[in-house]
Order: sequence, then structure tokens, then C-alpha cells
Amino acid sequence: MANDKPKGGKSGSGKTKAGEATASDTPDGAEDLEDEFAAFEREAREAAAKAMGTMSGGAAASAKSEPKAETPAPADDTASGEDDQEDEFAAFEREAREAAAKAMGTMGGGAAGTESDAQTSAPAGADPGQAAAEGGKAAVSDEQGEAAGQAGAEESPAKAAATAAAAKTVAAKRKEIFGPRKGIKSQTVLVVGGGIAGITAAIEIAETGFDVVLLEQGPALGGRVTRLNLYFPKMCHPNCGLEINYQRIRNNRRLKVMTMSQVLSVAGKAGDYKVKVRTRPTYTTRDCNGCGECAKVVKKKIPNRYNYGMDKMAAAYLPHEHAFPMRYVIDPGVKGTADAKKLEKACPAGAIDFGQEDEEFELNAGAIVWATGWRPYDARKLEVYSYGHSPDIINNVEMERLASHDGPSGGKILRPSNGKEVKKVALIQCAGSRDINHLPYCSMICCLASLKHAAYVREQHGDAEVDIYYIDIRAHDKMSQFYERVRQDEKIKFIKSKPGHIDIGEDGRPVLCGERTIDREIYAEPYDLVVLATGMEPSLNGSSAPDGISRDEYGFVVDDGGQFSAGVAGGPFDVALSTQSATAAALKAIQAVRGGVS
Amino acid sequence: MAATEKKQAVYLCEGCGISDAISLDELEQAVTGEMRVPLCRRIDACCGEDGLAQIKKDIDKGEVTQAIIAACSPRVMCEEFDALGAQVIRANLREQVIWSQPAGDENTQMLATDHVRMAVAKAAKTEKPAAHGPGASSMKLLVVGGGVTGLSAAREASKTGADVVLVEKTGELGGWAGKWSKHIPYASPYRGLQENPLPDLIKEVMGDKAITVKTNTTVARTEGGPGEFAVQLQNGKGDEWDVFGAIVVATGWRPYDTAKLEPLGYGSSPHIVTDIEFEDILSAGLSKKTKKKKSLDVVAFVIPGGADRMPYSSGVSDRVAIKQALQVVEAVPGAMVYVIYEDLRAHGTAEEFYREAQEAGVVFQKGEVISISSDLTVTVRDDLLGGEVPMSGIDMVVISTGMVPNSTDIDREPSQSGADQLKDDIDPRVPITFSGKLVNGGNGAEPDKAADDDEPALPGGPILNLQYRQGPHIPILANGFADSHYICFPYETRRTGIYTCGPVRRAMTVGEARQDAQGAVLKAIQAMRAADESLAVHPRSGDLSYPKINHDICTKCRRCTVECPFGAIDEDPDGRPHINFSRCRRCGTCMGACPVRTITFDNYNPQMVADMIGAVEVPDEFAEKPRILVLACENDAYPALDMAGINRRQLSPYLRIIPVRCLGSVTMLWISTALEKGFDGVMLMGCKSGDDYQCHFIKGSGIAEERMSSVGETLKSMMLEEDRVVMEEVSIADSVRAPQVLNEFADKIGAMPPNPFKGF
Ligand SMILES: Cc1cc2nc3c(=O)[nH]c(=O)nc-3n(C[C@H](O)[C@H](O)[C@H](O)COP(=O)(O)OP(=O)(O)OC[C@H]3O[C@@H](n4cnc5c(N)ncnc54)[C@H](O)[C@@H]3O)c2cc1C
Ligand code: SF4
Ligand code: SF4
Repeated sequence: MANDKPKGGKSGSGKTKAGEATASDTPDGAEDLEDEFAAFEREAREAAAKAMGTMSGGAAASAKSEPKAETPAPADDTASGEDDQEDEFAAFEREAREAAAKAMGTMGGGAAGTESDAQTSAPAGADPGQAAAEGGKAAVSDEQGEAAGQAGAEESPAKAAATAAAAKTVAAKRKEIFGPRKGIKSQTVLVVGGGIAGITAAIEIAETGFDVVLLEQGPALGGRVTRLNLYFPKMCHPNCGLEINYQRIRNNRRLKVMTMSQVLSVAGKAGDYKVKVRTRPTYTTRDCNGCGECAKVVKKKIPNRYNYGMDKMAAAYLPHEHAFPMRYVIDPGVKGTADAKKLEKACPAGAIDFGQEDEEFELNAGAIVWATGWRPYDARKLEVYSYGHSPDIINNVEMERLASHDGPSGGKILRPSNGKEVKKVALIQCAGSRDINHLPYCSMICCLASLKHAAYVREQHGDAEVDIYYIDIRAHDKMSQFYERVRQDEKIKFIKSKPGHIDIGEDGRPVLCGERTIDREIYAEPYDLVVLATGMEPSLNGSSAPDGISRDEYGFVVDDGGQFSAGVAGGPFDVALSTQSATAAALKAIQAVRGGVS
Repeated sequence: MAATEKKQAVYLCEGCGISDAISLDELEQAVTGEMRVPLCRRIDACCGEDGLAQIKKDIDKGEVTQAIIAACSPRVMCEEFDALGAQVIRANLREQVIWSQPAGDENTQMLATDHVRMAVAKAAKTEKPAAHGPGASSMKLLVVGGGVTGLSAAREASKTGADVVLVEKTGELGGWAGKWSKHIPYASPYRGLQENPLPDLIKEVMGDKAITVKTNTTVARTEGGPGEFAVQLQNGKGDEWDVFGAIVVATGWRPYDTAKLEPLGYGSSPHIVTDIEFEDILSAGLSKKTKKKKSLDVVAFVIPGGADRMPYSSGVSDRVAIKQALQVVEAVPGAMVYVIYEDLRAHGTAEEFYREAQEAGVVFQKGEVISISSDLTVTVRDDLLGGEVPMSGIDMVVISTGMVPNSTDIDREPSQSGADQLKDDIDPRVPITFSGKLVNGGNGAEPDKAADDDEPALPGGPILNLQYRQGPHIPILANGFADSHYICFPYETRRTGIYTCGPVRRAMTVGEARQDAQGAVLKAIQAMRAADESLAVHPRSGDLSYPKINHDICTKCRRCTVECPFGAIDEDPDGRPHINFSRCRRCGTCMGACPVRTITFDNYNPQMVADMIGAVEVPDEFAEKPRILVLACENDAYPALDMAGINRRQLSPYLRIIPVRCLGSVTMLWISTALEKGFDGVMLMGCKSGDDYQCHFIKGSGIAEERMSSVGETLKSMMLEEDRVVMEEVSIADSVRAPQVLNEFADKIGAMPPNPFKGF
């Protein structure tokens, strides 16, 4: 069996050497891919015609016959007796019957394939357990299984019994895990914050069968990651995963998204929270279909928040091209101006309504997931680094915008002061982090973000030099390979030093001043662009975070049995760890709305 | 399902400038005329309240079962149109017609009409999908591994209402973490050595009625799929089986091979130990040790960097070194403790633990350790003096090692099919790859693929011994981690209903592993529910459609079983494909693989798209209006084109774009239909393939690439130019590039003579 096993399609080497592919990737040595294409003319018509002939009764016919076709064993009546609307008890009965049927080997369909089971289910070794117990080499390869299967063709009675036993518990378990629970006021989970963590938590809860409300204070979901160019270490696009998540949201009716909404206060306890929410107006109604006429006529310009204010945009705007929901927003500054009248006239859908006011309402929830994320640490607080004194001193989130195709420079990394090419770039690590006067913790992502930024620059400018000033390069687990990779580029230098300050040179270029930690050399280096690797500060810090959330000394949310954190609201995480923590938060929230620990 | 007769209606939206850019009068005539759809309404704005009400009225009256809505992109207003109750088919007149074409142009009108023709053709061949049934046979969870991750997983599942069977290979619970005398802090205040949480956790598990613990037990084989995994256990107690809804794999790690540390000096003295060995010394009690054998007045912890830097441990070993250093300081008054490192990876809130150790007097010294001699002299490279500096007078040297993931069972013999599987898949010996072009200086070349030798890619046999046509292992990535390749979706193992967590997935500490267990349990419970309700899981979550095979036509060529990226299709003893529906993710790769096109979905099938292609009106060769078919991945390329439309980037009017589930679902029939119909060119747009894939169905785009590799030759033999049919890699961020790529292709095709098959 193993020897004539057709080779799997190599997902590996994207590129295929034509000749080889034919040899190794065609399931049947006899046919080659040449045939495949030639075959389409003939086969396509013949087979399709035949298929239509036999199946054209419509999908109904084919669907009915399908389970039979799948397994040779005749389908028992029980299979067709099922009904979507059956009640719990009927379901229980049905399952018991099915299980029994499966156990007797009379049913096919979804079961583990009774026929093949019968062929292969005999245990692999004579006494498989013994080897393991003795710590010796236990050979339980599939080949052996098959070989043994050929010898003894009997269905294992143990397996049949197990199948029957498991099936008996299904209905009860279904109810216990997913069914309604008594004595809990609200079984809805409230997720606050629609970044990657909040989106993930909300979807995972909804797809497990529980109701969720996802609140986002801004006009669109996605949070900070929508403003990143690429993710380390794969250098892939944030919108790629977000798009899948938006599809999942569109297809799930248990999940309600409310944008422009903020939590004002939280009262109550696990299983019974009352949450006051305020929704701010976008001055567009749900009739807005995203046509963009308003943006064409409005005169007022405002700083582009999506680009961290690095450029300006019309005061009637789509948050960005991948905005979900795709609805325009009108800046409050437009209300009551001459622009307002123009806008109302221009909108073909009549979707502009300056009569909208803040709305406050109360939500009931059984558990709350805080996924409120982060903001970049304010670089102006690091006075010695002269942020704000030169357009060529930027922070790392601005660097992401500079590199993005929909950023202020269309993705070209140029000197913000004069639009000229960058030849020499400095990246300063731990700008604010690992500093008891600023953020006492390490933000975890800024080293990796800077490695990524070095790569951005090097990709665009073949002879540009990048100097990374650092204390430690903290490339955790598999990120260390990313670090090794970037280190191979000899134009990227790693300088162990925390620069003392940044001067503005006579030519207007920023000059980094400090001492190298290792050779004690004093430097004063001019650069075209300096990027401060600012860390992540929990967004609940310094904002009017509602009372009643447990938070630690840094401001990160601490789980309390009814309120949980997901993503950077709970600690400095990258996206993989944020989604991991969000999935965990989904479980904890479900446990909480089920009455907590049993 | 389809027993009811189809009643179609086309709703032409007048909103968003559609009625200004194209003539809806003409379009309406075409709908009721040539397209023979009796009911065609023009709606002010389909998505508006009045518009929705108008459509709903038709549906509620029973006049319409399929609403063909010619308006905006299928990516917007989904909830609104879904709520109508009928099957909705969308024609994207906004983003991909009027927003990307000049208004009032003849070509724009032709494009719009073709979009509606395609939608009408699609309606004829699509059905609202019905569930496959019959639901789950078990809602019980199997947890493999009784270390801290597995124990946590078992408890978390039980707290959520599920029954659990936990199997542990050894005679004891607790794994490695159970042996540590002190633990790393992971919660506020993020400092202070922690008591070992394992004894309490084990007690909780043992006292939990919903959890059945089986020690000295492994999994002999696993059959079936989510909702119905039939698992044979192996523990010397005869033939034992159980049935599970989902499986959590928490098999943890094993120490890094110390032989690889010998060049550094390990093995030359009993006082040079690994951090794992040092845990034993710490557990035995340091004071005893100091009295009996040797003083521990000076201890050096060495965290290797550079070439010895181990992907298995970064970040974990560093925190372990801090912990052990603190333990020495606490136990041995006046001890000098050094930590020699290149990068001290105390990331995140572990910075506080690092600070604590510094405050306690641990000396952290940056430097590359070159050698450790048998007399315990540690030689460190000194960049200041440019030389090598020996440190002597040390009583014990502790070297950080690493955690090698137990993604295989090293106590089992590797099987041939297992070895083949690992090599054919993403070879775990290949380092993680990154977009190679980004580092263009120096030697930023792609790392070489590991030599294709006869050695198995990983030692040991499979953990679950999956009885899957595609091999017994859980797929494994670089360095042996059974992790997801997606940053956004950390639990994607490529085997539905089976989730890995803890250090088998990524190097992690106890605190992190306990959280990871919660995540994996959530996914496991979700998978059981999805199986019970016949729903797909991520990324097509909630999809009811599923692949059907007509066995009368199937030639048993086995292409579908080989190409399914999720191992969902097995072969029965007669060699016929058997689809395990609950494993299937509905990508359609099997459909694209089938040479006799007998794999179909109710709402997506070879004939449906072929008919859509056939519905396009192809002008004759004198019209100088070429036609180009674009099959675009609906997850990335298609949204990128929508975004191009949102930005009003213009597209060639000759393109006819059809979204596909995945390029893997593209069948050669569609290309041949297009060419026979007189299309002048075909472009497939999909995600990055290869080891560093971006395809949401893992191999779909790669498989399409392989299938396409032979097309050129065939075109030549048909006297057609090879480059009429091409494939392009496009990401979702390519809203600028994708239209450029398409327009350039259109220009190129325009410069070629027309397809000679036109008009036949
Ligand atoms: C320069 C830089 C580059 C990075 N690059 C990468 C990378 O390449 N790869 C990677 O893995 N990670 C990277 N990261 C880290 C990554 O950005 C974070 O892991 C991620 O953004 C965390 O997502 P989140 O959902 O927790 O937070 P956020 O993205 O901040 O989302 C929080 C959301 O909550 C909303 N919100 C906040 N408060 C409230 C409230 N009171 N009520 C309602 N809504 C509220 C916010 O508007 C926001 O939408 C980078 C970070 C930086 C600084
Ligand atoms: S990740 Fe790097 S730059 Fe950021 S705080 Fe930590 S050590 Fe500093
Ligand atoms: S190829 Fe895709 S659609 Fe076909 S069985 Fe596999 S997962 Fe399902």
C-alpha cells in the first residue's frame, strides 16, 4: 500500500518544474497532465452530459441518493427519519438508534465508514499496550494496522460498544454544553473593542453558538492592525485575515456589531451585567451605501486619522478602503457649516442626517471581554528624542503608514521633510518601553516591528543603510529565525546603545548622539529618517475607563470571573498571541455565561 | 431542497449612480428578452428600506425563490439581503462595473449586461444547500498529554460542560512542569518566584467527575472525523475504543539533544549542566548540595546565542535562567550569579522579573560564549578589547537548552507513509520562510530546502496515528512545531477537529500554555458543535454546502483524495473516494481535481461556472473587443478588485471577472469552455503558494499552479499562444497592483490576434 501510494500534491515548492510535476504529482502513473487538458474537451462534454443525465433530477435527487452511494451498506430507515425540528428527546432517541445501527454496521453516511472499519480495526500489535508500558518502541504504523486488518476482518466489539455508549450521551451533552441554563440573567457576551482581538473573541463565541455584541468606538472594525503594512514574521497583509473574519461576521446571525459605541459604565456581576453605552453619530444613516458622492463635494479638510495625521482628507470620508462596515462618516466639524447643506444635497441616497445626536442606552450581558487594545506611547514625552521637532523623526506606527500602499506617500518610504529618498535610517528601540519613568514593561513587538521596518527600507532602497540602536533584540520563539534572517543583510547594523538625545543638524537632518555600550565610543550620527520604536500602552490608561474593571499596575485588564481581557488590553502581545488570548477569552466568557465554574 | 420549482427575478438597482452610468432600460429589455427572466424590477435602492420591502413582497407572495440582485458587490449588504428569505444571487454592477468603467460607454453597458447574464446562468445551477447530517455521535473530548497543558485543557473542557478522557503516556500526571521546584510569575505583579501550581491542578482533575484519566496510555489509532472520532487506546488492557467529538493534543516537549552542546563544553565536567538538569539540583535543595559536593558560591548561566541560538527556546530559556538565578541567590547567601547572554529575551511583562533579578544582585553580562572548559572557565568574546576573555573561579555552569516539540512520538517507529507525509507536506526541517525579496542585500537568499535524503524528517511515529488517506501525522511546520501557519488563526492545524496547544505548538511557559489550552478547548468545542449541525468551520464557517460525488461516474482516479488540503477524503477498500464531511472545509479543491467533474456542491459546481462563462456574449473577431476571463479568489483577489473600484481605479472593459472559492477549485473545464467560446485570454488570480503560503485553504493556489503548468504546452498544440492563459499571485492589499496587472494582460491580449475559435 505504502509503495504505490500516490505522492501528495506538494504544497511546498510553489514553483513546479514542469517535467517533474508530471512524474511525481499525477496520482496515476499512467495518466499525465497532458491528458488532463486534452481530456477536458472530450470528458467535459461526455461526463458532464452523463452527469446531467443521471443527476439532472436536481440536487434533491442526488442528495438523497448520496448517502447510499457513499457507503455500500444499505442505509437503515433511521437515517431518513431525522427531522430538523425534532425536540431534545426525539433527538436523543434518534441518536441512540443511530448509534446502535452504526454499531451493527448497518449504517453509513457520516460514520467512520463501517465497512473500512471492519477491515482495519484489529489492533496493530498483539499486545499494543505492553510496549508503551515498558517504554520500548511501539510500532503502530498505519501499514501495520492495515496488514493486521487484512488478517482479522471482524469489527471490534469494543469499538462497537464504545460507539453505542458515546451516542447515548450525545443529546444530554449537547444540552449541557450548548442548551439554555437556568438562573442566569443574561447569556449574551459583550465584547468591547473591535480590533483583531475583539473581532476574534466575538466570532469564536458566536461560532460556538452563543450571542455576542461587539462594540467598537470608531466607525470601522479592525483596530490598529488595519494601519499596519505587513505582519512580521511572515510579511503578510493584515487585511487578509480581517477579510476572512468579516466574512465570518457576515455569515453569523448571533453576532451584532455596533460601531461608534463606547462603554460608559458597568454595574452588576458575572451573569448579570448592566452596561451603559453611548453611541456617537456618523451623520450618515444606514441608507449610506458607500458611493462617496459626499466626499467629492465637501470643502473642509481634516487630519487623516487613519494615517496618524500625516496627511489631510475630506471631512466626509470612508475610514479606509477596507472599512467594515463600508459606510461614510462625516466629521462633527461639518455640522452647521455651509458644507453641511452641500452634503445633504449631494447624497443620492438621502443618507445624511445632521439631526443625529449622541445616544445612550443600556445593554445586558452575562460576561464582558475587554479588547480595547493599545495606543502608541506618546513620543513627545521622550523629550530628548525631539519628536515633533523634525518631520524626519517619526514613530513606528507612522513608519507602517509610510510603507503602506494606501498611506500618505502611496507606500514609498521617503523623507517626510522633502520627499527625497532615504539613504540612512536609524531605528531606536525601547523608545519609552523598559523604562520605569515611562512604560516599565517591554512591549514585546517593537523589536520585531523594527526588524520588519529595516526590511521595508531595504526592499525599497537597494543601497540604503539601516542602523538599529537596541538594548536587547527580543525575538521570542520562532521569531528568532526572522531575526537571523534580517541579520544576514550586511546593510542592517545592530548597535547596542540607547541614544542619549537627538539634535537637529544644520542641514535639518536629525543627529543621533550617545555612547555605544560595548566599545564605549561616543557618536553623533546624522540620519535621513529616525524611527522611534515606541511601545504599546493600554488604551484604557488615561482615558475615562469605566469603573469596576480589575486592572494591574500597568493598566492591563485582569480577569475576574466575569470580565476578561483579549489582546493588548491584557498585555503587550503581537497578533498571534492576541488572537490566542482572544480565543481563550471566548472560552472563559462562555463559561461565565453558563454559570461559571462547575 | 430543489423539489420546489425555481422562480427567478432580477432586481436592477438604480442607486449609487448605476442608473446614470448604464442604461437600465436596455438592461431590463435584455433580462426579460434574451435572458428569459419573466420578472425584472427596477428598484430605487435595493438595500434601502423601501427597496428591501419591495423585494421581500415578491418573495413572501411566493413569486420569487431566487432573487438576482444586480447592485453592489457580494461583499457588502449581505445581512440585509440574506434576511429576505430567498436564495440571493448577486451581480456586482457597482464596484466592478460603474466604479471601474467610464459612464455611458458602450463597453460599460456590455459589461453590465454580461454580469447579469452570468448571474442568471448561475441561478439556474445553484441550490440553497441543505445539511448533510446526521450530526455528531459524540460530544466528548479527548485530551492527549497529561502535563500542565493537557490537565488545564481537561479542566477547562469540563468547566464548559464537556466530558473528557485524558490519556497520558507515562504513569504520572504533571509532565515537566510538575518537577520544577519554583515557577516563573506570569500575572501581576509579574515578580516573585511562584509555587508549583501542578499539585493543585492534578487534584482538581482527579476530583473532577467529568474527566476520566488514563495513565500509561497512548492512542493506537484514530478514525473518523469531528463529531465521530473513533479512537483506539493502547494501554495493555486489550482492545479499548472510545468515540470523541474533538481532540486536543498537548503532548508538550522534550529536552534538546545535549550532544549538540558538546562543542561548547557540555559533558566535560559534571559541574557543567543543562538548565533542565539544574532543576533536579534545585529540587533536591541547594544547601544540601553545597555542603556535600561543591560550593555554589559562583554560578554562571549561559544562554547561547549566534549559531547556537535555538528556535526551540527563545524567550522561555531566558526566563528560566532568571528564575534559576533568583533561586540560587535566595538559597545561597552571598553567591555570585552571572547570566551571560547575547540578547536577554525577557519580553513583555517578564521585564519586571528581569528587574527583580537585577535588584537581587544577579549580574547580567552581554557576550557571546565561545567555550566552557572542563575546569569551568567560561570564555566570552569581548567586543571592546577585540579579544576573548576567560572567566574563571566558577563553581557551576548552567547552559540553557531548548524545548523540542513532541509533535511525533519518539517511542514509536516512524512509518513509511508518515515519513512520506512529512516530506511531501511542509518539510519540518525547512526553516520558516519569509518573503525573501525583502532583504535584498548580503545573502538574503531563500534558505535551501533541506536535503531530500532518506532520513525521516522527524524521528518517531505519529501521535494520533490518523487513519487518513493523507497520512497518520498532524501536519508539522518548521522545527517540528505542530503550529498554524497563519498569524491571525493560531489554531489552524489543517486537520479539522484536532487542535494542538502548549509547547508542541510553540515554545511557551506554563502561564502561556494554560491560556493556550483554553483557546484549543474553545476550538474543539466549536468543532463538535459544527459537526453536530453539519456546518463548516473556519474559514467558511457556517457553510452548509458540501462536496457530493456521483460514484457512477467516478473513475477512482484518486486525485481528490490526494489533493484535499485537509485530508478529508479517504479511499474505501474498493478505491472509491469517501468524503468525511465533518473534516471538509468546503474549498472545492476536490472539485477542481476531478477530471470527470463529478464532484459538485449544491451552490457551486463545474457546470455552474461553465454556464456562467458560456453566458457571456463574445463579440466576433471583427469587433476588436477581446474577452478575457478572470477567475479570482474570492477571499483576496476579488476584494482587492472591489477596493480598486472603491478608489475608482479603471479596469479594462474586456475583463469578465468571476469569483471562485479558491483557485484550487478551478477546473480545466472552465478554461476550455472559455477558449472554445472565443475568450481571448484567461487569468487566474490567487494567493501566494508554497511553504510560506497565504492561501486560506493551504494548498489550493499551489495545486492550481501545478495544474496550470501543463496548460501552455496544450495551448501550443491547439495552435494558441501559450501566454493566453496565465496565473498571477495577488494579495488583498493589491488594490493598486491588481488592476495594473489585469490591464497589462488585457493590453497584451489585445495585441494578439483574436482567438481563432471565436464564432464556432
Ligand atoms: C509599529 C508596530 C508594528 C506592529 N507590527 C506587528 C506585526 O507585524 N505583527 C504582529 O503580530 N503584531 C504587530 N504589532 C502588534 C499589533 O499591532 C497588536 O498585537 C494588535 O494591534 C493587538 O490588537 P488588539 O485588538 O488587542 O488592539 P487594537 O488594535 O488597539 O484594537 C482595539 C480596538 O478597541 C477599540 N476601543 C478601544 N477602547 C474602546 C472603548 N472604550 N470602547 C469601545 N472600543 C474601544 C479601538 O478603537 C480599537 O479598534 C505591531 C505594533 C506596533 C506598535
Ligand atoms: S520589544 Fe524590543 S524595543 Fe520593544 S520594549 Fe522590548 S526590548 Fe524594547
Ligand atoms: S478538497 Fe476541500 S471541499 Fe474537497 S473534501 Fe477536501 S476540504 Fe472538502
